[in-house]
Amino acid sequence: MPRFLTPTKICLLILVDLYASDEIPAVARLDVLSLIASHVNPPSEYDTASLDHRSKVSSSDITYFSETLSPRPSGIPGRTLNDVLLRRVWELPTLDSLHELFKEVTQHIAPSNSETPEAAAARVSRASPLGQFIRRCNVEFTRLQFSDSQALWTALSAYRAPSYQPWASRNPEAARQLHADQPAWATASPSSTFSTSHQHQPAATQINTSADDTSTILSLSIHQLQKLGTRVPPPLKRHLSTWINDIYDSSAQSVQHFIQFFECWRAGQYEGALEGLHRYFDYSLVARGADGGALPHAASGGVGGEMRTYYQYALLHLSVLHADFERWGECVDALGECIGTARENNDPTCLNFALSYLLYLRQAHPNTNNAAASLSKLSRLVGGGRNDQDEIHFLKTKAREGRNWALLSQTLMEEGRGEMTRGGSVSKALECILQSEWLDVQHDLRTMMPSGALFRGAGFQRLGQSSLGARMYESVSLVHSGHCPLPEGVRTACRIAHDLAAGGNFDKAMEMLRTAKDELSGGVLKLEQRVMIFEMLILLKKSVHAEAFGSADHHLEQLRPARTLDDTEITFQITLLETELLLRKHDYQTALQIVNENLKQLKENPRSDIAQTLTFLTLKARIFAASSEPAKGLSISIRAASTAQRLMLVNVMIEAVTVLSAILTALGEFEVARGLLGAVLPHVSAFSFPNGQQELVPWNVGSVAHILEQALESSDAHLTARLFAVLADALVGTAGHEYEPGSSDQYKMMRTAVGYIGRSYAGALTPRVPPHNMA
Amino acid sequence: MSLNPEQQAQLQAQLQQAVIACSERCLSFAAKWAAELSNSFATSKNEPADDASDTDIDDDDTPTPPASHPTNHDRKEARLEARELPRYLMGKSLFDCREYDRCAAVFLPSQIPHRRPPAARIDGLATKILLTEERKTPMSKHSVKPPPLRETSLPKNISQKSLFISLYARYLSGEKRKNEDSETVLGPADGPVTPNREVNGILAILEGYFNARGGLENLNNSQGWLDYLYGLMLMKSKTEMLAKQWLLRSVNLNPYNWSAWLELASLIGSQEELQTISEHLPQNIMTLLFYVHCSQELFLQTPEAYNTLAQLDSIFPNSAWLAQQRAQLHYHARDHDTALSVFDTLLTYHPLRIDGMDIYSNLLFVLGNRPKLATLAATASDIDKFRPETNCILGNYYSLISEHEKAVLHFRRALTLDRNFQGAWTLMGHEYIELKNTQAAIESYRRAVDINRKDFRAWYGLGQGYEMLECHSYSLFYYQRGAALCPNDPKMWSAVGHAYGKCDKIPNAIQAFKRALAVGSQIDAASSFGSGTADPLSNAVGGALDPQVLFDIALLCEREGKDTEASAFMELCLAQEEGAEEGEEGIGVTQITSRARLWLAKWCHAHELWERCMEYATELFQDGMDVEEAKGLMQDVRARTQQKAPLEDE
Repeated sequence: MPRFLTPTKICLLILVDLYASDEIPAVARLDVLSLIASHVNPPSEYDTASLDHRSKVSSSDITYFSETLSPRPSGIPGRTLNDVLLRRVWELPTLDSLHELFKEVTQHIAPSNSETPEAAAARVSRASPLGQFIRRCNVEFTRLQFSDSQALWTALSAYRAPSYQPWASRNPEAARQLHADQPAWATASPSSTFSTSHQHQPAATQINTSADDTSTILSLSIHQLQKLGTRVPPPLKRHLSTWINDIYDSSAQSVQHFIQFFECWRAGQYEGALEGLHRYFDYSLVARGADGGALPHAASGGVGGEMRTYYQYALLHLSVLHADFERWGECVDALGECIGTARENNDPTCLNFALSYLLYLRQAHPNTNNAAASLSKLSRLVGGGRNDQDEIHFLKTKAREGRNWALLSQTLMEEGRGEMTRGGSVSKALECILQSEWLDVQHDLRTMMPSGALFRGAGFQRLGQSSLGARMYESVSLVHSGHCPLPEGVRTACRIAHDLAAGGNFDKAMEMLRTAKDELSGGVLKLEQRVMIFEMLILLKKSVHAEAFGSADHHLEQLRPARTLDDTEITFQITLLETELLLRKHDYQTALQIVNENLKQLKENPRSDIAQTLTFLTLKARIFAASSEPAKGLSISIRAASTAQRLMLVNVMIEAVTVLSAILTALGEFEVARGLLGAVLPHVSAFSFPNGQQELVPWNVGSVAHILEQALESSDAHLTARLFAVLADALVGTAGHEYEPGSSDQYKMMRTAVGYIGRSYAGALTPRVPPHNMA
Repeated sequence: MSLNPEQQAQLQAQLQQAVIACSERCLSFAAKWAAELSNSFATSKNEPADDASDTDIDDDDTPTPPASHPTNHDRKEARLEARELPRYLMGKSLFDCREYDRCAAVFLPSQIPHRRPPAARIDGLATKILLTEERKTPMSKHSVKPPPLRETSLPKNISQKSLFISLYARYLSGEKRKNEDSETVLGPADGPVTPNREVNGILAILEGYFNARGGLENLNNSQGWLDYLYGLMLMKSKTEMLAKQWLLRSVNLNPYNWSAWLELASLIGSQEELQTISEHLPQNIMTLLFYVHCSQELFLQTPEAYNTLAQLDSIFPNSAWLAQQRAQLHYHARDHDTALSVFDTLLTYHPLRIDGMDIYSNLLFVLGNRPKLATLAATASDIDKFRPETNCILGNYYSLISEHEKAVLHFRRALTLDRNFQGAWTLMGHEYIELKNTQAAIESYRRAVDINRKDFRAWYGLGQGYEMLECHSYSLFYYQRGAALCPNDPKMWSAVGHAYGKCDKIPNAIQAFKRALAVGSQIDAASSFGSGTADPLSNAVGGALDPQVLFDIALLCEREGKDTEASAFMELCLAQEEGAEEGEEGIGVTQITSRARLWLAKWCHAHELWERCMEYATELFQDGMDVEEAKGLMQDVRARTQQKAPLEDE
């Protein structure tokens, strides 16, 4: 396999030459430049299409260029750019002309010490991408041994062979000349390699791919595996393995195992991934021993030097792998050893990364039984202190010192998450998110942007700003789609679908998930599972709301395995729906039991999400209210509502207020309930009433309904319906107790109540226009 | 001179015999050469009666073999050979496997292969590696002559063939070791510092052998092969007169050993020597071939040479070797087009033959034909990357595209493959000159000259090297050697002239330059026939003479103080710009002629020939050369003439 120069590179060089010598008309110049640039420039790390594009360089004949250039006009009427290229390509009759070509192209480079700027202006400057490409090609060509340049020539002959007919038909004179120029003995030679074969002879593919191309493609695919979480497309994978076998370089060989490791991981094959990782490590050990060079495709941080210093990265990968397959014991062991080794080897990059990962694990999986304990033990071992705060502080300082912006951004995100879930200041959490996102933008940490947006959207939703949150979710697919890691994309799709389902838009939600599933054709097991679970959830929700108990039970049964997954979001949703189902079934005992259990668990775990606790508390009050023991639920719901209000968890608060109002109504305190409902609604509509304490005029039914709808537009349809129903209840109660029977006021009140009931009914029945489609 | 079928058949049989004999003695190259030649008869006549002629040859063949030798001697040899056949076969196969020491040991068991004979140790004094304890014993230090007793203790009753093969194996083993010890090309251990340590031992054995059998005079004691080896060894030990005698004896006894002829040719340094030696040569076809080879080597473009070549061509119309010789002759005669076409046909018929293709690459280099040279290089490199010829072609190619480092690399590779490849040494010298590495260049040229003293380019290169080092008398010496070898090359003579000029021997320098002019114009006169009688100088215009040389002569004349002569030469130089008659083209205005014109303008100015001066200056001005100076002159002249005009008016 050649080092750098391939026939494709020579064609590119010819294009550069054509471009630099002004032989390309203005209309086509941009196309040609972008074609050149797409191969000359280092590939964009985030562009998934570039991998496909890059792999084109290994095509075995010139058709790639022909297809790209054929539609472009050239300066000569009736000729396309392809013809121009072919003319130049076939202008090379012998090996010697290669030398001439390179000499000619080098002329375009402006001399380094040119004193006259106008002389330099017309040329390619030395440091420009084109200049660099030309110079690189030239250096590589000078390096070639004679036999190598001969091989290059042979490859070029084979490469251009298919284009002989189109070229010769347009340039018959030149074609004749080409044959005449060959010495008689040159074609007579049996091993003649330069017989300007016009019949297509199958070219050996390996000469068409250089080691340089291969390593570009390799690092690109590894990057995508690592950062974007996608899988390598099968045809490319096949190519890669042949190319890698052609490179007689053991480090490249070992990279193949690295790819294997990622592939297996994504496919959910634990054993295979483990095997791949170990094999990669072993082989790169050999490679290191052999050439001592740095491995180009090392994990998250740059790796170099001795084998030992490389060990912690292997451990880190191992730990991540174990965590992904939820083998906490092994994960913690590996992470502990990793941190130890990283410290021993004075590798701050790895150490910080490991610590940050530890932090993430603790945040993301707070209720894993023994893992959390061992993780916090581990953090104590690290010396981070008792709570996360110290660790976050430590990581932030380190990241700032080491200018490791990715780490800093990640840590800020974790800090924000902590603030938010543990009932800290919301504004602080938002500030953390903002800082983190600013870092992403400032330092081009593109792959981190989607997770930032996702988190921010979640934050907005907690604050009750559903439409803002939906905008954030949307931005993931609209703005960041090019560089969005696969897991984030899927997560977003699930969130959006969930919101849609909450608005009663079940069909749309299902469709959304189906599209997400189609996009996941690569076969990443975990993500596929996630999409399926959300599908189940939506189906379950639908049947619960339709009170189709049979199918609801069935779906719940199907969702049972999902509960064992260590994902709080999913288990929380399942539990909620289960309780809802039990409520509908009037099985209050079991419902209460489940809620109590969950509350107990949440209380035990210091890292649990306060919003979840409050939701369960509200649910408990609701169960009491439903089981005709409203007095029991009163204090609970009051506490929940006030805490939620303090923490600005608006959704939870509305829920709590609804329950509270229902309880109050049940206790006969209609006016209080009405007042409460009236008072809470401006809170809900804080977006429209910034002062928040506006008096609601209950009499003006139309306007109230309008405001209510406005306020509750984005949130749960179920909740909205219940709000209206409770309001109607309260109105009816007021009408019954406050006014004289048969008075016009009472009549008015009753009509209002009926109107609310109608709205509640309509709200529950008609799917709402999804908020993100209103823009 | 074409042969009748019988003669041809006989010749063919003899050549076949020679092939067998040569390969029996492991002289592979001679065998190859003879085999090539035996296959280059005109085939068309033979084809119809293919079988018949074959049997004929066989019938003829059996009684004929080396008929000139007394039979009883041969019979004795045959008996000996038959007796030691198994051992011979073993030796031969060992030789073929390149186990030279073992092969030698088959017949000369007294030789412990790796033990160096004492004499060799003395020779190897210079190699510091061998400064061992042994060395310090006074005996070995001072005994210059090897103790001959052990060396001559030959096994009795050994056939000449076996003796030859074992001694030859010993020699090759010495060569192999020499190559190994020489390490890198142009390294400290390379060159005469590392001799072939076996030579003296073999010499002693052969001396003893021949002394025991009547010496040089007794022609009956040998089949010619051992004589060849003896001659070769003598050559290696620089005893060239004696070597020549033994080689002559060898070719007389056994004319079909081409190696012997080649060695003999390498000993002949001039045409005169060739003539003296030709009296002692046998009169057969091999002598003619030898003569062709020598003419080519000695750059003799005589009609006889061409005649002989034509004769031989009629006998061997398909001979690649002859075609190569012809091409080389034409090349040396600077008849590049003919040489090119001959080489082209040669390649067309023998596309896989690399021998001599380095000469072709030289030719293509001179012609600057890059594409063809590249194609040739590709072909050669396809056929065999590890042949010195291939590497020479590659080197030439890289030199042509001005990549001198790579060229040097390839020449070095060629030399690593074969240190006696003279062409590569010379070419490498050229490259080192290009790279301004004068020391290395001089050493390379020196090595080239050591291998073949007839290479004028190497001598010329040596001169150049010394000129770059500003050692002018040395460079003069080498240029003279070059000019002596190649008196028809004006470049040589003008180089000699320059060197003389640098040494302040101006009359000699002028002489040399005039010689260069004469040689240079001779070529032109030959090509442009016609009216040369009327005026001796009438032909000497329009580029017939080299303006540079004329200019140089003029400058030298000026240094001598012969101003008029100088101006005449300058004018002659100017005359080259235009053709002799209307419509004929000269060389046009060049740098040199402009300089000549400027010189003339200044000269006229000094001699107050204002009009002529003005004329020259205006011409200069028109040609756009040296405008500033011309302008200055014109102004000056105008001022003076105007000054003068009023004076005259008054």
